[in-house]
Order: sequence, then C-alpha cells, then structure tokens
Amino acid sequence: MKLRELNILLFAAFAFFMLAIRNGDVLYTLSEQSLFVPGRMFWEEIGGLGGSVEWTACFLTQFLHLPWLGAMLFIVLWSAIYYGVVRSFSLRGAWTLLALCPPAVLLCLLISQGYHVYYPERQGTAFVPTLLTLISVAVLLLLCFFVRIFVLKKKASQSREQLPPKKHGQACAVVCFVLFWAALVGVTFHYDYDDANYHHELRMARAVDECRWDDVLAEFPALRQEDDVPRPTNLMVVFKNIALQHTGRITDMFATGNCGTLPTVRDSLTVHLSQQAAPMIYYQVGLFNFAYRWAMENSVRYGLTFANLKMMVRCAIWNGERELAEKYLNLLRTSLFHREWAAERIGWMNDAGRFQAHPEYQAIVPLLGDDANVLDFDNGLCEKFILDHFSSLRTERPSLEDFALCVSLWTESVADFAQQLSLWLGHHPGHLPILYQEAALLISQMEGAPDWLLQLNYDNAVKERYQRFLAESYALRNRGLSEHDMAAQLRPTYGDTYWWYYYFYTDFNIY
Amino acid sequence: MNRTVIVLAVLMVLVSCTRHGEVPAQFERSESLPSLFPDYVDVTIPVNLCPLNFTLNEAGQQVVARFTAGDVCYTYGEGRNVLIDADEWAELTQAACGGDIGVEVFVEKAGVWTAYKPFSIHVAADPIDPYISYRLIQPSYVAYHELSIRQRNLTTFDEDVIYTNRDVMTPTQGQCINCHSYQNYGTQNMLFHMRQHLGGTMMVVDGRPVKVDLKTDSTLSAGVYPAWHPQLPLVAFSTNLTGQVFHTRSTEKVEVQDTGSDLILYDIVKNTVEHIRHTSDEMEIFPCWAPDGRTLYYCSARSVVTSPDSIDEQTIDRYEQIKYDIFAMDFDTAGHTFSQPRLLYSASAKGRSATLPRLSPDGRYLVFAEADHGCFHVWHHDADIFLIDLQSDSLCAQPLTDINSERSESYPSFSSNGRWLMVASRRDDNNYTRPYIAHFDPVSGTCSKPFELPQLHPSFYTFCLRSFNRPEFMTEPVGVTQEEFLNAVKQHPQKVNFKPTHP
Repeated sequence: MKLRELNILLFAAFAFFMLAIRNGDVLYTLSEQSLFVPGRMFWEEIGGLGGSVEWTACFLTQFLHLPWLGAMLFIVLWSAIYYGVVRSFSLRGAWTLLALCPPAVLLCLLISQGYHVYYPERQGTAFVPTLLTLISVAVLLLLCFFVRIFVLKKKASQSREQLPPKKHGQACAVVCFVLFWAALVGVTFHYDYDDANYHHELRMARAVDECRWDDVLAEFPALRQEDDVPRPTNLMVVFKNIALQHTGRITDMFATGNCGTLPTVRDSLTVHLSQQAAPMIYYQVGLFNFAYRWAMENSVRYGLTFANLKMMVRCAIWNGERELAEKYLNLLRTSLFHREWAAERIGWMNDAGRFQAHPEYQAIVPLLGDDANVLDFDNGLCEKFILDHFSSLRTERPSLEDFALCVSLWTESVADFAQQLSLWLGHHPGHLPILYQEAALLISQMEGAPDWLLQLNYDNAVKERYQRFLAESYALRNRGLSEHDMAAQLRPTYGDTYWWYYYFYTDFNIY
Repeated sequence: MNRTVIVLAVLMVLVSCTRHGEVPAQFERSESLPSLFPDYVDVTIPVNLCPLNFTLNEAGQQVVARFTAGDVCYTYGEGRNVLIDADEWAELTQAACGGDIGVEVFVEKAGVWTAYKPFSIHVAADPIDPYISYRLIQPSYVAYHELSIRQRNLTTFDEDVIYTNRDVMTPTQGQCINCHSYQNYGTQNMLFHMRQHLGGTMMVVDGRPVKVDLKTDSTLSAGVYPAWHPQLPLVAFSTNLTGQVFHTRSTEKVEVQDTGSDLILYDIVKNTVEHIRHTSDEMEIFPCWAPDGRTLYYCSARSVVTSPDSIDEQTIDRYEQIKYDIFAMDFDTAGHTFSQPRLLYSASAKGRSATLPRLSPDGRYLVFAEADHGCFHVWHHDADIFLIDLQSDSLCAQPLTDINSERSESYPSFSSNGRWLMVASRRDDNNYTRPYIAHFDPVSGTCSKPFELPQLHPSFYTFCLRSFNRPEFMTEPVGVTQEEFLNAVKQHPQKVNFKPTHP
C-alpha cells in the first residue's frame, strides 16, 4: 500500500473515531440545529445561487442526524480534498502527509466549536468550511492542470529526469510519518471540545426530546459531587429535575445534587440558557407560549431549525392551533429524518386518544395548572422565570404542588415553601417526605417562622441528623474553616440534604 | 447544428409552457364546492389582477379546472395545482370584465373523477392599483434578523425589494425597519424607519432619499406611526414608549403596549417637529389624514396608570382596560394649526378598542380595526374591520362582515380609487399575516368576499414563514433604488428641530 493511501485510510479511521464516537452527540445536535426543506422557497430563502454553498451544506447537515452517516460524509469530502491537494501539487511519498493538513484543520474546526453550536452565524454551518475548501481545491486542481498542460509540460518531464537518486528516503518517510501523525493526533485532541458537561448537556437534551427520562437521569449522577469532578451546569440540573418530576421523583431533587454552575467556554462566548434550551424547558413545564416564543425568537436570530420547528408544532398542538401545527408539519414532512415524527403528530391531531396516551402528554399534563392567563416576561432569563413562576404558585392540584414546593426550596424561598406546605398538609395527613421534613425543620428554627412548623410530626432520624449537621457545622466553623472547606468536609455526609444545599450552595448564578 | 437548436427550442417550449389539463370524459357529479387553497370560490377580483393559481385543499391526485368567460375557455391542471398562463388569464378577465368567469373543477381520487359544483370568479371593471408594498417579517416578538420592505406588482407576480437590512446588519449590530408610508399613494414622497444600527427615518422627498433623526429632547421618542398629509409637505407621527409582555396561556401570545404616547407634526420644509397632542393622561396613536387634508383622525386611550410608580406594572396588570377611541381634529392648512379634538367614535363605551383608522379616498368612509382592548390588533384574535359612514348622522360603526373572519383582521387600507379594501389577516393559521383584498361598494359601504394576494405557486403561503406587515397600495413603484437607499442609510441623519407649540 502506498503512503498516499495509508494516510487517508488512517485519517478516515481517526476522523470517524473523533466524529462518530467522541462527538456523535455534537453531530446530532448540529443536525437538529439546522434545516433543509426541498423546493424553491428554501433555496430562495438561503439566497438563491449566491447561497448555493449554504444550501448544499444544509442538505448535507441533515445526514448528521445519524452521526455515523454524517461522519462518513465528512470523510468522503475530506478524502476528496486530500486527493485534490495531492494531485494539485503532485505530492509523493512523505510529502503527501501535507495534504492531510486541510482535512485535519476542518476536523478541528468541527469538533472545537463547543457552545457555538447554539449560535450559528449561518445555515449549514457544519459543512460550509468543508465545501468552500473543496471548491478551492477543485479550482486549484484545475489551475494546476492547465499550468502543467500549457506551461510546464516540457520542463516537468526534464526536471523529473534530473532528480537525484534518493538516499535513506524510506527511513526519512517513516520518521516524517510518525512525527506528523503524532502532531495531528495531538493537535486534534487539543482542539476537541471535550468538556464533560457540554457533552452531558447535549445527550440530556436529546433524551428529554425523546422522553427518555431514565437516560436523562443516567447522564446526571455520573457527575458525583466530589471535588475532582466538575459540577453540573444549571442546564443539567434543570433537565435532571424535569426528569425527576416526570418520573414522580421530584422530592429527590436535592438528594441527587442540585448545585449547578456556569458552563465552561474556551472563548469570549456568553452562553444563555434561553438560546440553549429555553423552548424545551418551558415546554416540559407546560408553559407553551413561552416555549413557542423562544423557539420563534431563536429561529429568527439564528435561523430556523428542525428542533425549533418541532417545538413550534408541539406548542401549537397543545394550544389547539391546528392550522399552525399543520403549517410546520408540512415542512417537517418533507425532511428525510423527521417525517415519521411529523406523521406521528398528524396522527395525534386526528386522534386525541393517541396524543393522550403518549409519554410526552402524560409527563406534561400534571404540570398544567389551573392558573389564569396573565401577562409576564422573562427578561431572557428562562431559569429564573420558571423558578419564580412555580415558587409563587399556590395550588392544591396534587400533581403540581410537589413541583411547586420543590421549586420553592430550589430558590430558597422559605416563605413560599411554608405557605405551600400548609396547603399541602391540608390534604396529605400522612407521612411527610424527608425533603419537606428537612426543609420544615430548618425553617422552623428561623426567626419569625410559623409555630405550626414546630408541631409537625418529624421523624426522629431526621431530627437527629439535623442536630448532627448543626453540631458538625459549628465544630468546623470553630476550627476556623472557610465556608468552602466546610462545604467540602460536610458534603460526603450531608450533601444529599436540603440543609447542605441551603447553607453551602452560595454561588447560584442564572445565565 | 440547426437540428440541435430546433430540438432544444422545442424542449424549452415544452418545459416552459402551461399544462392545459384535459377535462375527463367520465366523471361523477358532486353538489359541494371544491376546497381550494387559496380559496378563490366566489371572490370578486379586479380586471387587471394576475392569475389566480390554486391548489387542492383536499385529498386527490389530480385536478383539472375549466375557466369560461364568454367565448373564451381554457383548462388547466398540473398534478394537484392549477397554474394559469398569464396571457390567457388576461383574455379571460377581459372577456369577463363586469361579469363572471365560470370555473368547473374536476378532481381525480383513486382513479375516479369528480366534478364539483361550478362556481364563479366575479371580475369587477374597477381596476386595482398596480402595486402594493409590505414588510416581510417573521412573526417574532423581540428578536429580528433579516427584514425587507418589498413591492409587489399586482398585475404580475413580480416582487422587488425596496429596502432590506441585510447589507447593514453585522453579527453584533442589528437594524429593524418598519412603518413604510406614502404620500397619497405615490412614491415620490415616502418614508420608512430604521431602528438601532444606523437608525433614523428615511424620508424620500421629491424622489430624493434623506435620512432624518426625528427624536428631540422634548418628544417621547422618534416618530413612530406615520401619516403623510395628502397634499402638504407634512407628516403626522405618533411618538410612543412601547413595550412587549407575553401571555402565559392565551394563544394571542403577546401584548404590545404603550406606557405613553403623543402626536407630533413634522414639517419637511422647515425641518421642525412640534406637538400635536402632548398629554400625560391620554395615549394618542395612529394618526390618519382625511383625503382633503383638513382633518386629522387618530386614536387615543386613557392611561390606566394611577400613580407615577411602577408604570409598566400597572399597564401590564390593567392591559384589558386599555381601550382606544377615535378622535378627529380640524386642521388649518394655511396656518398649520389644529382645533381641539372631538370624539368621533367611542369604542370604549362598548367595552372595545378601535385602532388604525383609514379614510376612503372620497372621504366618506372611515374604516378601522376593533378588538376587545389594546392597540396592536394584529395579535388579537377578535380584531375585526369596522366601518363608519361619515355622511350619516349616527356615525354608527358597522362590522365589515364579509371581509372579517374569526381571526385577526387589522391594518385596513383603501386603493386609490376607493374600490378595493386590503386588510392584514391571520385567518390562514392564526399567526402569519397575509394580505386579503376585497371589492368595496362605495354606495352601500359593503365588501365582497376577499381573496388572498395571489402567488405564482399556490403552495407559497404553506411554506412562507413570514408575515406580510402593513400592506399598502401604491400607484407606482418606488423609484429610489436599493443602492441609493443604502447610501442614504449610511449618512449621518439630519437632526430635526423642536418647535414649541404656542398655546
């Protein structure tokens, strides 16, 4: 096998590993964050002939829905670029390694974009650099061909005859080969956006979209609350809590870890939850107008996407806006990978029973309160709006009140919690969940707390544990430990309690 | 060589020519009317309108439609679409001028052809203005990106961009464009606004574009909703402090509200603005001149704010109490002075809110949009078009039932001959605004069934994800080129001077 072929075979295998295996979630997200609609209107929307590269990129991006297929497409295009460069410059032997540089740069560009996946500057952003490079190489190849034919034909044949015999050529090629590949692999891994939270978020978002609640939760506990493991982002916490709610385990909110942090970005990009996931978050808690609004706003600002189209369909179905849902479904029905999704929703509209039997419906309907329509706004802060909205709810709907209670604890709104708990106790005479006991016990010690909180029937184990928590906290404080060190010391024993969350989660930042 | 050219020419003709479908020899008859999109059954159209291409709005593999007007008869059918040749359509409309085009629709379902109940397209002899313009915008809320103001030739399907923000947008700097407006249906004097990046108001005066900054320290904002005086170089604007808030449950989704608004008059020659109405307890909006230029109509609502604290919150909490009435002020065209306002129509007395007044060119009819509350009726499902006959003693407002639907109708405007009324309607899907045009009878003050602005491809509206905002009639296309607009946009705006109004 020639080095030329060995290079591209190795690169193909490496690129497939980097794309389909390590970044399959990114490729899938890129496909969801893009749109392709066959027909003249989309062609004109993209810009007609002037936008033909973007149009082609959008066409190809839809195949990233199946990451292995998308990876293969990239590999085919990058192989063409490689061979184009090899041919253009008539590269031979170890020099062919240089032809791998453009594909390697394109690979790095693709896997290094990180949170920019939510902020595309143009449609079909994943394939545009590759297509532009391919066009450039094609032009180069054509130029070289003409130059060779009409200018250098004679000289080239003469100079080839005059080439001196190679000495140690084989060894040199092997050294070059090894060094080049080491550099290529090293640089690619360096540029790979391998932030664990980023990938967790992408996988959780897909699982939420597909109502795979256990998979959402499975992505979350993988991040143990230990010092050497990065804290989850706020988005992961939100997704985790949505999954807990939808699986009837919302009172595990703090036992599963509820301390979110800001996402890690490598450049100056400011990430906002509104662009990342506001439509899905609002939708999952039954605020369809706000979900629709953000799907629309993000589509306007960053281009219409399959993800936003699907969200607008969902909201329109819930809102009973049949014609609007059909409008968006008409677009989705033309797509390669969303036509079945669209067909299922059309079925829902024609048969409400099928809709009501779907896990998506069953998950969300308990969160639909009987609250009256009001005017409100979120100032672009989706998480804050949801926390404020549900913590201020005074509901006696059994399906909703646990969520409202837990959200009050999430925001540390002790007054809201106390009022909601008094309503809850009215029709839950039995055992108080541990979480509520922990919170009530904590609040009962506060100045001005209602007396009835002290009269609640607390488990002895909870009371004793709280006393131990207080005693250990005082002891650590008396030893002069900082808050941060105290939090770390107490986390293994009390990290699953509301007390630990209340006292030591002090850097709750909304973004 | 010659043979190749001939073959190619024949192929091109075959590809480009209209498909004249063939009426089936055998079919079953149906007593129901066909379901078409757009719905052109029994509509009245102007004689100079472009073809009414349509598609089937029901199951069926093929459609054939036969159009008959006098001796002229054509059939069309291309799959589920009926695409009409422009020249043949002109023949049909000329033959049917003042009468009807008969339409028979045949649909094939599972190999069986059905002939639906025939219907007519009524062809009025009254021509329509050859152009309309609109802003194409995604029906978003706060965000905007690529926007364009476009002009459409109604006699063909040609559409041009008047101005687009595409060439001035940067990743960090956006430009919103809005409120295109013309003096007396002409385009030699026109305007539109640009907000944020390179903001200002683009005034075209005698065909020359000039960028103006209408904001002064003494006015609430720059000019917002405009109304050109029909003869004089004057433009009345509202100035508005506008915000948006969102419905948590209602499918109306958003309320666009003012917390304050006034009226100003811009004198183009003197480059001055002065207050027309400047009140703290009233919110004036949507000025509109009578065709003779001697009366200014506008809408006004009593402010619901009861204390100076938390004005926004009070406006939000009491949004359903904000009701606009229609007022009129006499205008002295020599001295440029206004009389005291008089209440013309109290919608609030009925618990309703009237906005967007427009006058028929003969000055007899006032049309406006009315809904339960607020000023931004494009988002109000119950918004309908109402009409007042200004020659009647009662000045009673009647709904124009034939042009209204169960969904939002707003932004009415008359054609220059007063025989066509265009509205921005959301009847298709409750979210995307489309221009609907109806024939208007100036004697009875009634409308025919409206037709949706025809498009070359009948499924255009199915896939179009933009609203047609502020549809306005024009008697001529805009003469200023995009490049000339762009050059003017990049200039520093000419600052206007505030002229204090003497008591």
